[in-house]
Amino acid sequence: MMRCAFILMFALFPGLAWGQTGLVADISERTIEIRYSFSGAHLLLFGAIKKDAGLDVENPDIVVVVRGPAMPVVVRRKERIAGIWVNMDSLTFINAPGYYAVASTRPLDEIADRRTLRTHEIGFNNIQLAIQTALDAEEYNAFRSAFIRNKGAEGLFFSSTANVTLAEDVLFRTDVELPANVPVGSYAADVYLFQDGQLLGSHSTDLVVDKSGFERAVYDLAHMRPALYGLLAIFIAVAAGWTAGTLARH
Amino acid sequence: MPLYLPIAEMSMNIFLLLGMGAAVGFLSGMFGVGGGFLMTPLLIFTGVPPAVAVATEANEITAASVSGALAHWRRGGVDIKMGAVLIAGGAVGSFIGAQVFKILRELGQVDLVISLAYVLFLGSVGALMLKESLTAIQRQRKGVVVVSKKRDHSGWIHRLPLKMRFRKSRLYISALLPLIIGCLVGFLSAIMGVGGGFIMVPAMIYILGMPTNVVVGTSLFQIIFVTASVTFLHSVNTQTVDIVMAVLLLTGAVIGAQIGARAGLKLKGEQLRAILALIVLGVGVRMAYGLIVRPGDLYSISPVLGS
Repeated sequence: MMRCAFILMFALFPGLAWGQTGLVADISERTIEIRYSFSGAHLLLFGAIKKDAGLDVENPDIVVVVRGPAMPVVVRRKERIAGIWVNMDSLTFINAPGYYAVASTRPLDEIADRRTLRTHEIGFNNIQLAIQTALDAEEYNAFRSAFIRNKGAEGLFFSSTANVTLAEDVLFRTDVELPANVPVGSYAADVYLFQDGQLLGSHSTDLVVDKSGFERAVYDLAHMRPALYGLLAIFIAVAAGWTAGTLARH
Repeated sequence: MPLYLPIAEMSMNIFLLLGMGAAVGFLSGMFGVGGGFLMTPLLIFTGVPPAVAVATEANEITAASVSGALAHWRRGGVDIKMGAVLIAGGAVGSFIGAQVFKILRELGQVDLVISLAYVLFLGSVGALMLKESLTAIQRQRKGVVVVSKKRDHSGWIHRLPLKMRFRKSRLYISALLPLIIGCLVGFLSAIMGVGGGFIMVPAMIYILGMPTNVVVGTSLFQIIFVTASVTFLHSVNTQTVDIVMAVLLLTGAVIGAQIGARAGLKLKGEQLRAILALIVLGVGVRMAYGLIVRPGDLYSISPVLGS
């Protein structure tokens, strides 16, 4: 039965390759195209633990982390000034992931210790967010947790325990949700295999989220030929207004 | 039916955009205003990034004012010369406005300045309009016939240099006045995502002293050019004009405006102005509320520009 599943998996996904440590995984779509009808994507990440690779795996834990492209982000804090709320202090994180989803078979702190998790940046608390200027820890943490909270509110950061299903300690699968506001760029889906707090292996799959077709053409024109884009926008508006004005007369 | 907007980078329902366009178009057709002061806040409330809302709305107003100006043009209600001077001022104002907008965006203060501008201008214009229209309604009930006041320019206005003759408006005034007014409205247009008719029309009547039959047409005529210039500048400076969103909004607006214009004929002028004043005030109050009330999260995040 298990063998059949494997054969089927390899037949369907020829790109599937064993990681160096007895882990294999793939994702249902490696290229996510944002087209006019895009309202988010639902991906399936699946894989298997190779039992006969010199590993004696029992009761393994699987953690899946999907990371979006890193980009600089400003976090601003409002203060009340003369009765109104105004942005005052700010902090820039130089390389904040635009998307971060973590799923695991059990709560992360039961799977491994803080140090291991931190090394591999697994879990919200362990994402390394670099800043340019020195800042006292309390302030840094306030801005840091605000960043994660806001990303969560945008639907771009989420974590779930027990969202990874593991069948017979061999096959695993999890769902990956990309919302409509997902940033464009290169993503990595990393699978980590743990047992008794030890990291036994990992596997990384790259995926790309990109605008395509009409959405890509409009975006490229706006950014690469902004003057032409502006003139086109004006032309469309004038033509539409003119047509409406002429039609209304009759 | 969801539609992904390539510049706003969000998915929105097509019918929501068409419907918002139609609703604001209805009001703009009814009251003879561009509707930018309603549409821009509405877009921001639905989650469109403020910078995209302002720039895209400028693009939409261009279309609305072309069709409006066309109607006034046919019946001779446009003073081209006055319009040209206002546009010259507007070009300068919108250029400065777009630069200021870019700097404010980098400082993270653009939302605050948009809100403050709305509170200040909509609050004062709305209050003045409401007072004026209520007085007019009361007078009419009492049967008082109001003789419109003769245009009366105070001395200093006449002493300004660069006098110009505007035949259609039957005026001989300094070109500096319309230049400055045009400049101010162009500035506001770039910052607030409005055509600026709600400032331009009273300024034309009370400061320039233009006859009412050319006021709305000339205002719309210059709004075409000022909003076109704002669209262009925002496209080049910040890439925040979403053509797809603009097309949907203006399609709805064009249809709504035709229905609104017909509905408007059934109401009296002062009643229309009173209702419009209440809407203007309502938007101003809503913006003020957003500034005063403690936000749910004091922290906010935004991408670093130019990266």
